[in-house]
Amino acid sequence: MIMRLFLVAGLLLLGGTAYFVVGQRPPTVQVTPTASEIVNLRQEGILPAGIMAENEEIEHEVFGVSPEDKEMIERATENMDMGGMKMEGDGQMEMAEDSGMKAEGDGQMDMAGDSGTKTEGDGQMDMAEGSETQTEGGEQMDMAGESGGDSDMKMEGDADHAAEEAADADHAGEAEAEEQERLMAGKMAGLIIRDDGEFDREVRLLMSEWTFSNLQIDAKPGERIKFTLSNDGKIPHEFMFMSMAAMQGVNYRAKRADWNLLEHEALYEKSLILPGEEITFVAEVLQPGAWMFMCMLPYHMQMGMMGQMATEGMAMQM
Amino acid sequence: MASELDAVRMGEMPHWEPADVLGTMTLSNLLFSNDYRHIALKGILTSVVMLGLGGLMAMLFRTELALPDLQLIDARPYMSLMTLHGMLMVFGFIIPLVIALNYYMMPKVLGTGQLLLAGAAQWSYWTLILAAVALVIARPDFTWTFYPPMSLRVGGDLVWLGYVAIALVAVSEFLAGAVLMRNGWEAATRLGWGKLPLMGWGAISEGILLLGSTPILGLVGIVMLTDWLELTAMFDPARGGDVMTFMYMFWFYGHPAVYLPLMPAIAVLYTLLPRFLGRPVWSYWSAVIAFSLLTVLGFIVYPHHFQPAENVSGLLQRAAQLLTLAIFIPSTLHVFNWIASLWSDEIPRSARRAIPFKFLIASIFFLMLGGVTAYVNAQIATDSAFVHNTYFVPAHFHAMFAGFMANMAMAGIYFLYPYFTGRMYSQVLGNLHFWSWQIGIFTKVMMMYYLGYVYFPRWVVDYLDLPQWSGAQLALTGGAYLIGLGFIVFVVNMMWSASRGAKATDDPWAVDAEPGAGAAPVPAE
Amino acid sequence: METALGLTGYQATMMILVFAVLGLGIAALFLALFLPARWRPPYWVEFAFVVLLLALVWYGDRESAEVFAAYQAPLEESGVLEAGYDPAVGNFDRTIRVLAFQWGYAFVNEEDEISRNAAVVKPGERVLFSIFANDVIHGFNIPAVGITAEFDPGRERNVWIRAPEKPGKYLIQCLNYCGVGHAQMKAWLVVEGAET
Repeated sequence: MIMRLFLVAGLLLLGGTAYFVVGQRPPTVQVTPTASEIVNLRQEGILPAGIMAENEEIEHEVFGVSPEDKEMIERATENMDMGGMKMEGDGQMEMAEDSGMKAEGDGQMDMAGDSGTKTEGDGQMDMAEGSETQTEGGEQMDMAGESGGDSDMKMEGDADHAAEEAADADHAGEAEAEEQERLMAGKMAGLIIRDDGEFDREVRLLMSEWTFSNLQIDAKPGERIKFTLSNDGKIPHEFMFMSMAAMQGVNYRAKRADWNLLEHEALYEKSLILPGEEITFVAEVLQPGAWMFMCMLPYHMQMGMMGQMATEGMAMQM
Repeated sequence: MASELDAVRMGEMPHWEPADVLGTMTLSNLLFSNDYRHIALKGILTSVVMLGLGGLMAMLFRTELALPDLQLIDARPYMSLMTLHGMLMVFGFIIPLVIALNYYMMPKVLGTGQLLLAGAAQWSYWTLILAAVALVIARPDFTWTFYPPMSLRVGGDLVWLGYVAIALVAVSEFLAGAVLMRNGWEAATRLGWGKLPLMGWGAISEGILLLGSTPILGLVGIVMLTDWLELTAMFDPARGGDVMTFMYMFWFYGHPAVYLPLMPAIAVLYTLLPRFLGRPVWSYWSAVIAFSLLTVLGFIVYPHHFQPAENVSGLLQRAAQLLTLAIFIPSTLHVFNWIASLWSDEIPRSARRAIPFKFLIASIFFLMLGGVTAYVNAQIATDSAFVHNTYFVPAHFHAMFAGFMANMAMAGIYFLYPYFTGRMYSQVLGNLHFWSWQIGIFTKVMMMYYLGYVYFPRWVVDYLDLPQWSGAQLALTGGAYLIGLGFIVFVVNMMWSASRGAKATDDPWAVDAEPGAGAAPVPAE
Repeated sequence: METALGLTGYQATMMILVFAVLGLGIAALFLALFLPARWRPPYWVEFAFVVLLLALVWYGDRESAEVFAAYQAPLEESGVLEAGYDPAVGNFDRTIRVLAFQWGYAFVNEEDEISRNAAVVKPGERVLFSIFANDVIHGFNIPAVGITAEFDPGRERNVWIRAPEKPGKYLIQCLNYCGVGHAQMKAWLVVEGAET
């Protein structure tokens, strides 16, 4: 009798715990520190005050590109055109419950030609050869990232003039070509973002853990908005503007281990904004549409750092 | 040194009568009885359930890790699974189980006839139940070593129950230490220190470890709670605290913690081995010295757990390294003793057949495996290279916890089975359990060592698709499934045999020596 | 090939020693179980065995201490362990400040330029990493070089490596559980060389 009692109790306990821990899908939350070490380091002089320039030596090639991105983005674009956001693969966008993404309108989107072409300089990824496995003698481990995959990125994709231009660019011209590429993609997505320029109105955005001060920004076609974005939190963040399809397209690997090691295209990206720093940029809305802005550091987005800028009637329900 | 003395000291004489203790237990016995057999059985059964629960957690996250880029379980539930696995296995399965085996065996081996401080054992049990409930409700994802400030910030409203669970575990273990100490000490003073059975030495050593280390665990749990409530800021650097304070405090418990299941398992081994062999172990005093040395050293080697956190490698780190290297000496004394005992004379047929004996031998194998490879864990240079926080560390402690202690716990359960059910278990199922476990544990441990050597990180829900990582993870998962299968076979065996097994003979472990082999049960003077 | 700690010969020796001793132990167990001939060791055998163990303890301690002291020497000589990060510290070819946060790395080079998740070095250089954790305990491990460190917020951690000779990118990973993004906290160590 006792054994059976323990068996039944045991099975209930096992089933219940498994459901409680895994099945119930508790939301991901993370509390942040009350102080930022980076602020201390600035005070101690170990880090310079003010924004630090980005290291030019790090080229985009370093991060490589996932070969499936293009296909996933194309698929996402098609789904957009057919009206409605479908989550591809396991792209569960788990948003924290109060992320504030609400629907307006019925979400008919015309995401023209966000073709998702990958253009990364001349497309040659120079990865250290393969990954030699460790031998008994303790030889050096060459952990050079994925074996295969993005070792041979040729220029593919729909006829895209900028892509051809970029392919011929040499090292110095690469950065410029990338910039051209970005602007071209922006034109096709309906949103062009520059570092400065004339603007019609200003918007102040604060980023903190784990949200933006304004998660729903309204815009009018033709408007130019100057954004002042500051990091009001304790942790460095990233800032990106992406088209809906591009964001959905990379969702399939948003929780993969190599997330930080790969590149993904964005309409605008500032890879690091440290606590206390502030950046400005001007966004020009060319046509009706909706675009996402977010911080794509691991789990920041899933915990709520994602917002939407949309023209009237175009806002998408997430 | 009379042979009869050795027979008593080494626990060679049969002490128990097969009886259906388990079948005649009522619900009231289960909940309230202070009879040592009821308390011990309660502990054993509960620990087996905890093994099942901790094992289920492992099966789930092992499935997630079987292949790279599987996204079956998200990061936070994955870490909850891992935290629960670690805590349930260490605090809920292995420590209480080996202690419960000691509760069952001490009264007869030490000659008391009853378990002294049985009330404390009762309280210890229920406190642990409370801790387990609190832990599961909290479903914390802060790993079983809950380093702050991360552990203070994992979020979730009920995480504080996890800290409470830690404090309750400390209380439960402290009480268990009191019980062991009391029984061991009473026997030592009654029989004389030179005549105390080795199980008694084990009980006293374990008592010292428990009584000495658990108070600080309780303190750590309470301070974590007050830090979380923001009443204090001892461990949170953002509010003026210091993480190293936590490291020193926690690991002062944390290192003896790993010997908490080891000592009683060794005590059981010293009690079982002579029984099966029909002769005393090779050396009594070697065992006593080994117990004592391990108890002393166990308290002073703990800085090796956070060695790579320090910028310098000064006197403290060097001393920790030296002592950590030295601590494998007492364990080696034990192994030498056991192998010498096995080698000195014929191993009876009855022993070779016995399932508990097989588990005992397997546990010696894994103690060697886990212990010798720890030679590179102990050294600062290799630790700072490929050992620290790669899979090399869980490889070591799984070889110990699963390979030595779990195997030894199973040996104890199979050994006592006829004594508390009156029947023998199924030999076929027993063998099936044994072999699936050994193959599973060996595969798991060796794959983990390999993965550690190639820098596979700990605590990751997903990993890069590197060839040296993926294949090994898949094999590891296979080994884990095999262990799970063995566990199911074990449960089936236990339940089926309790009502349908062959009735146990008067001395189910009677030594069946081969004729003329010279393996007389009592060696000539 | 040499790892950060100059481990090659030493590491190989230790692993071989481990396997040898383990092999002997397992052999002894199997012999005790299956060899027909029986042997009861005299007590002095255990004493001799303990002497052997002590010799292994002394050997392991000495070798490890030597290797690690050799590794620590440049850090101590440069004064960075006492003084903390200081641009004037001269012992190394390059100093990179590393900010570890939830969940990524930021590398700041000597010209105060910042980059996320990628650090650039030249082949064979001696690089000092001055590592700071922003929020919780993080880890810093470069498998190709064979060095691991963990560090808490509020303390500077100094680790140096000799950059690999072969150009390319090498993995940097966090080895301490630091929150939900831990598994994705990885970065590249980029060794310049033949133009990418």
